[in-house]
Amino acid sequence: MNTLRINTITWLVLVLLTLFGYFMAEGSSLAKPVVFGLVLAATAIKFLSVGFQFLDLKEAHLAWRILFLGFILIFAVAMFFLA
Amino acid sequence: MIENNKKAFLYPPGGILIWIIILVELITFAAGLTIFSIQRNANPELFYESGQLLLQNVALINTIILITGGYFMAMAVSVLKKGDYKKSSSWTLAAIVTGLAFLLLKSYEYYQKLEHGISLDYNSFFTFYWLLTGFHYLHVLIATLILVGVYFNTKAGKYSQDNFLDVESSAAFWHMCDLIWLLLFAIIYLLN
Repeated sequence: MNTLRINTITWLVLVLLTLFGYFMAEGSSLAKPVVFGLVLAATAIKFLSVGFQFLDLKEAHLAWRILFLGFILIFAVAMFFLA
Repeated sequence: MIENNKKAFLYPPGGILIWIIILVELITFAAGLTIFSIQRNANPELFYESGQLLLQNVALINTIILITGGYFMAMAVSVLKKGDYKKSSSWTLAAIVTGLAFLLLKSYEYYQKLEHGISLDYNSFFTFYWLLTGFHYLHVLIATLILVGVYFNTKAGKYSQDNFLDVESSAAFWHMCDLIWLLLFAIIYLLN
């Protein structure tokens, strides 16, 4: 698959996840912890998609990838428990 | 083997300096959002009522605008690496337009807040709101100005498939704004 196609698919996924997070937070009747978990999970996937695809982190040294992945996992878990 | 490994670590996409900046910025904003969340737990009613005064739909549009700008800039770097600097300058110009659109919409949001007397010292929620989104606004402004420079240099043919580090670093700074906004959007606008 060429870069244009991969980047376009990534963009589409990012937009869909953004809309998903928005409608979950604004109009969902699910319990608060479930909404928080889903919105944070969507945010983490978006964060990783931008990093690995748009920022080309997939080509970087393993240490950078672990650092990036570790950051968003710690952040998302911390935000979930602070909710 | 060890030498190659060291080299790969020292040369992430855009260079190690921009990555140090990205990490420091992400940690700074994450710390701000953590304190915001602790304060929210201490004052749930105040934070809930203040959150109702935000323009979530404007923030949603701004998120899509920034994501789209990130896509454009990723394409600008990708085509430059293939040697097409003319297409690269067009993608960069498109990213600049998204940066300006974000700043315009955010300025409208700030204007609307100030018009209703909601400034930095309105309450603790809005102190965080102004500081966190305000610093992010400055970052997008700087990133857009950097891209203007990249656009003119690319158009003049100063970059090529063998000389693209400046463009890649500038794109990394742009994506950093995108990453920070994704966190701000979730915590301040959605999960309040």
